[in-house]
Amino acid sequence: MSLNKILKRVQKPARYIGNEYGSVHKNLEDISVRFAFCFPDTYEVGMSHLGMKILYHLLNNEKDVYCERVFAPWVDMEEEMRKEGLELFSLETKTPLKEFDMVGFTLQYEMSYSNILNMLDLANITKIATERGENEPFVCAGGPCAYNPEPIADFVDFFILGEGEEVNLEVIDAYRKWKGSGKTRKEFLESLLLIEGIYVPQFYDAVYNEDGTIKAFTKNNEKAPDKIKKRIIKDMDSIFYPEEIIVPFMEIVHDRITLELFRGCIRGCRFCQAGMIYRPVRGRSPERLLDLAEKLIKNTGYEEISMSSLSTSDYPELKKLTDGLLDLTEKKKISLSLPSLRLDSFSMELMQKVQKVRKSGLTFAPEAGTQRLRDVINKGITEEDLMTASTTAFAGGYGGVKLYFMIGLPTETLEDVEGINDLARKVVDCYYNTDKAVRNRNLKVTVSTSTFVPKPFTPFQWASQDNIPTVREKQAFLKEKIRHKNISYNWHDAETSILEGVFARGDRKLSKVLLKAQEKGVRFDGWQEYFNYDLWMEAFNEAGVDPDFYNLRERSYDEILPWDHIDVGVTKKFLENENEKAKRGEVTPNCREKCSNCGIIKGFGGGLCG
Amino acid sequence: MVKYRFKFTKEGDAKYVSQLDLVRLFTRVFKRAEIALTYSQGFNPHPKMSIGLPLGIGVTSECEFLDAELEEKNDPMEILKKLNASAPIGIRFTAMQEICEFSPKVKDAESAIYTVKTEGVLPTQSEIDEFLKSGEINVLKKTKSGEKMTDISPDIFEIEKMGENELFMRLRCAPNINLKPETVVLAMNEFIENADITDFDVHRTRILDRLGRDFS
Ligand code: SF4
Repeated sequence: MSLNKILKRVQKPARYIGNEYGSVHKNLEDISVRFAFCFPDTYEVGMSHLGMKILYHLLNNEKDVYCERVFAPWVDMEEEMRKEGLELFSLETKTPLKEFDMVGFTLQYEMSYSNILNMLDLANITKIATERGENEPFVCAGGPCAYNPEPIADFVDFFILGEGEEVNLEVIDAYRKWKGSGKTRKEFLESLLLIEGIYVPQFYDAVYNEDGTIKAFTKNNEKAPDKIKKRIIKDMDSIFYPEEIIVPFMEIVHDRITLELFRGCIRGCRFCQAGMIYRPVRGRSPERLLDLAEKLIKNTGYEEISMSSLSTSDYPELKKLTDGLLDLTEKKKISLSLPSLRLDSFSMELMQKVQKVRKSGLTFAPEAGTQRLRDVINKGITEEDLMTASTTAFAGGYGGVKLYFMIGLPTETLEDVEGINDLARKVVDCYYNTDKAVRNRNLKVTVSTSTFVPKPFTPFQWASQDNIPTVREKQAFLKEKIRHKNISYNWHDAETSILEGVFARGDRKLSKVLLKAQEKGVRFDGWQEYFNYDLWMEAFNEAGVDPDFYNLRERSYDEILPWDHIDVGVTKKFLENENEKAKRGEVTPNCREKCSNCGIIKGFGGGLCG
Repeated sequence: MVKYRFKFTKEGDAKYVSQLDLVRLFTRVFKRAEIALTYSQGFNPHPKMSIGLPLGIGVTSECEFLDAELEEKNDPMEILKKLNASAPIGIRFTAMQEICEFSPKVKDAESAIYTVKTEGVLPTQSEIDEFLKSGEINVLKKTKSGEKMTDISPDIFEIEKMGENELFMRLRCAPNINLKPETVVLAMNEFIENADITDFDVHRTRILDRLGRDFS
């Protein structure tokens, strides 16, 4: 078989073999629905993703359903496949993608859109949904970027909005009923309209004003809902969570057990899309988590377990949970990692306990350099918090501190940028004020800045994004200021953020650009070494679409936004209010201090916000 | 505490698993099987185990070995059964024995036996013999500091034709020099006029020490 030949020639062949411990193998004769779960990035990235682990095992728990995995082949593999005429295939049974019933993409970041098109191309599946033949698979997509589905709406038969544990099974059920009924593709898509959370883009049309903004967005199929409401899981304890997961042969990005504590976030940072779209906060009980942890440790043999949530410190019973986990991990000789901790004293204590050995680095994310700007973005960290935490850390022997900031936030001035440097230097002072006898011999403060990209369903969804020269200027300014032997500075490439910004708030006109760009050979845009800005600009040019239209203008509150027909629960009015408060530098208390009526409890039943 | 040598196979797609990845893989297999490995002391404890001799990516084998120190002695059949229940497809433990002072030592490893199957054209045995007797066989070999011309003839012990499309090879396989069958095949293609050995699969069957004893 030609695959065997190819695998001997490519880097990291273990990316393509499947058969890992925990992977699922079924007899195809017993299967009525074949689902290809596609992650539009490399194996190492995709396999690290929690959503994939959940859905893979959830679907395979159904006796007559077989869910297999597909990743974007790395460039060397793609070249070999195209040369040998080998179509994109699934890992488990090496079946060509186009033979599946359903092909589902997960949309984790905008920069993977080109990979989706490239994967369809490699699979020889018709790219435009409405042109797909009756025998071709249905292409669906879900994940955080599906909340603004429009830029890829032309390529997708249906989107699944929100958390997938229930709705995916409902879709499968609809498919079972449709398959073999002799009905058309369109009839299947219509049958999906009865399921909440399903968006079928071809049943809607967009009409534009002369200036490119949307004049009207209307349905062309009576059965389609006016607004599509996202799905959420109400009871996290009783919902499915895998007790065994695949253990890859090769090292992946997050090579460990992930324990999902809760969904949603109480904080309400104004730049953060996750904090808005995953509302309300819903958690698992410590008992359920400890039980899962024990089973997963036993079934995988992993040497590390990590907690996952948007803000670990906000888990209400963190002490009980970590005590239990520390007990378990010590017994089993495995390590525990604790991402997303806040700078409070309990967290510091916890870190001391957990990281007895490695005192290398701590990570803090003040996001903005001045208190003024932190108030604008509603990031409730003060300089004092950072100083107290740094002092504790240095006294505890930590020698490295990483500080994360964003450049280009709304209302930002050079003073705010300079504030980043001031904060970093104060952290350095903290170190030198710490007793020599206890502090680490070396100090390294790393400042990283990413570029702010306004996202849909955030209070900044109307904002203009900094253009490339402005971002570069700010980066250069900060670089000049920072010069200090203990501080190093790294920053994100400005061009990637521009493209991310275009697709984040894009509309259906962008599908033409994507098609052109894919033809030109763009892919792996999230990988610096393959990102080709010039090719993209050519594609925009040829498609007659101006990227600045999406980024470099402030939208008015009455403009119809491309994602207005999607209902994430948080109301537009709330976001508007938050945006106004941001302009005034007014903070909003977190959901545990005071409910600010974001709208989520109205649409999704009361008593959910925990 | 007791030290064992485990014999294992690497078959099917598992041949694409690198040696480095195998170490992590085995740690997890033992954990799943709930067979306690001994861990090193210190800040960053790791299990006391080592994998015998390097095997190229893409090569299958029925004679790999793993030395590991276990917390306690147990019935070998029981241990093997548990390990195999916890191993991924393609990796199978076929034997184990306690390591004693008479067990072959890795530093005394000398050669390995391979079979090479090809869809291409093999030369005749006499052409092969001529190739082997021709003196120096210089090939470009990758080293840490780039590529270097190296004479591989002292590292080839035997090459024999086994039927129409199969070769038997015994090559040096020692801690410092490990001659890969691919290297030999490429040299044969270069130096023997009638050889066109393409699309070949390599399988390792034995690893021998200086006294000609099998490692496992
Ligand atoms: S309804 Fe209130 S408590 Fe719940 S997420 Fe919205 S603002 Fe927070």
